[in-house]
Amino acid sequence: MKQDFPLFTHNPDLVYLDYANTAPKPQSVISAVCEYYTHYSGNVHRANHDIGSRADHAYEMARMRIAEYLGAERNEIVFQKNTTEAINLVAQSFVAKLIEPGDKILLTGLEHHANLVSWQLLAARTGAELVFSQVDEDGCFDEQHWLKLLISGVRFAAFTAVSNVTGERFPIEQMLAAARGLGVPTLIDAAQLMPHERIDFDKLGADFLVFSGHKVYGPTGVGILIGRYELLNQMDPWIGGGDMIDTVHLSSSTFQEPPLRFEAGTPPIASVIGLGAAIDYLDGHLTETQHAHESCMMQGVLNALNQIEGTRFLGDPTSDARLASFVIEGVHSADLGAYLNEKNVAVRVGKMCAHPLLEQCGIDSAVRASIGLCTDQTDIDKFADALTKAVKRLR
Amino acid sequence: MSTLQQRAEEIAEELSYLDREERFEWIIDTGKELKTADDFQDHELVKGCQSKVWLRVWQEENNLRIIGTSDALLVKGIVSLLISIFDNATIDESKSFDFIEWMNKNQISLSMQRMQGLEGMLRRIQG
Ligand SMILES: Cc1ncc(COP(=O)(O)O)c(C=O)c1O
Repeated sequence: MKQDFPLFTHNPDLVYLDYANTAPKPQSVISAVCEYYTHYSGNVHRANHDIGSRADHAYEMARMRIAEYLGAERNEIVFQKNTTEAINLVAQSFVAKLIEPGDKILLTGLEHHANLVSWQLLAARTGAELVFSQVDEDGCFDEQHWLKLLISGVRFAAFTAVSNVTGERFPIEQMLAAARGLGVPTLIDAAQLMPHERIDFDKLGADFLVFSGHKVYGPTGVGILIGRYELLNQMDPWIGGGDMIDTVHLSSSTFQEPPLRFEAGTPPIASVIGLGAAIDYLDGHLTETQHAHESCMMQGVLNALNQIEGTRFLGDPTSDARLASFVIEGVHSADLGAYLNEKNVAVRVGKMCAHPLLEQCGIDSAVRASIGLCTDQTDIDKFADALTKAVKRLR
Repeated sequence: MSTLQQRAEEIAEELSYLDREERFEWIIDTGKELKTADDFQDHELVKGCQSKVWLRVWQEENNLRIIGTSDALLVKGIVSLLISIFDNATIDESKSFDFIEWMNKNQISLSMQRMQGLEGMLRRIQG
């Protein structure tokens, strides 16, 4: 698969284990972006010439492709900048209207800052109270506690589908069923799920689902909000400007229907078109064989880490995840990251945008290795080798 | 006693015999060898990005004195380098020395500098 990705052609020695941060881009995505800029770089939604119509067509075709892939309707796909912005839109335009002071918003203790700080801002504005399901001693999601909080009465529930720190996949199907049963609207942060698993929005039954283009092998600058149309249609826009209005007067305006209502101003056209190509790539490659391959590669990563005495994982490493965060006794994570970098192994070091979780684990800074479509045995062998050397040298 | 400039040049000469990988290893060794106090106080903590750094900076007559350490080895190497160059320098000497430029000239990897909150350390030393 690496031959499809120019990053690896240009960096043949690179061992990239930072997919969870951002994924490399296949040639097809790069070409789609390039083609737009080279052949038809017009603006969208205001076309009175051919170049503009071609851009418009490609942009809307990308929306169509993404909708098809995800089992959603075309007009349920809203282009945003990234996961973070998509969550903020739901918070400010949908949840804000539901909230009376003292109402509860249910989160989990494993959220990325994107799915935490957005709600803190909303809580400050509306007087909502944030409640969190606890993380158990192993750093895992506590479903029973979450259900208990859900039943106790909450206005909204937002949760990640896969933790970016522990790699745990949450039982989202059961969680959504429970929330639906109680009439609690939901948002799923699928930023770490989408690169590894195909989902069907309609069957899943979430109200909102968000993810980032750059983590699914697409360009940076575009993220997706999928929302049930009837809910999107109740929402007021959060950002105003061109493209999102129907009629404009000096004192007031009426707004376009969703999704354009939420796409004010010129959107990241090239990135959207590139994301369409990325979804095609995922569609072709996220097969069962690939799933088994990724499981096997991840086992390789874990084996390498288990060889090292004093490795401590965050969360449960045996849960068929696609990433592992860890600390190694007697070796500072920053040193380990720098040493691995010297050996051309790219991993993430730090708090992974989940400060409360790391604090709870009593860890200042961890190392995270995450795999993806192109990870192969050579990567695993080089990682194992560099890791052994690093620990020997740094202890 | 040598001047700051002389000390910096001596280290640069030592480094000039090393390739990139050896320079990296050299920093690790320098970090391992750093001898330091173990009674640092909270106010001596310099907030780095991924690791903790303590620096104690004071003046003796007109000279700057520095001790310091870090919980990360590579950062300790950098702290050791700072001490080799700045400890016992006059205030004037220290203020006019551009450490980051010196690091770049001697090809001590940039990513390392960034992660260490080096600027915070230099502010403590150079004021
Ligand atoms: C679970 C999760 N949510 C949200 C985000 C934020 O994504 P972005 O920075 O693209 O908005 C990330 C990215 O690291 C993530 O892993």
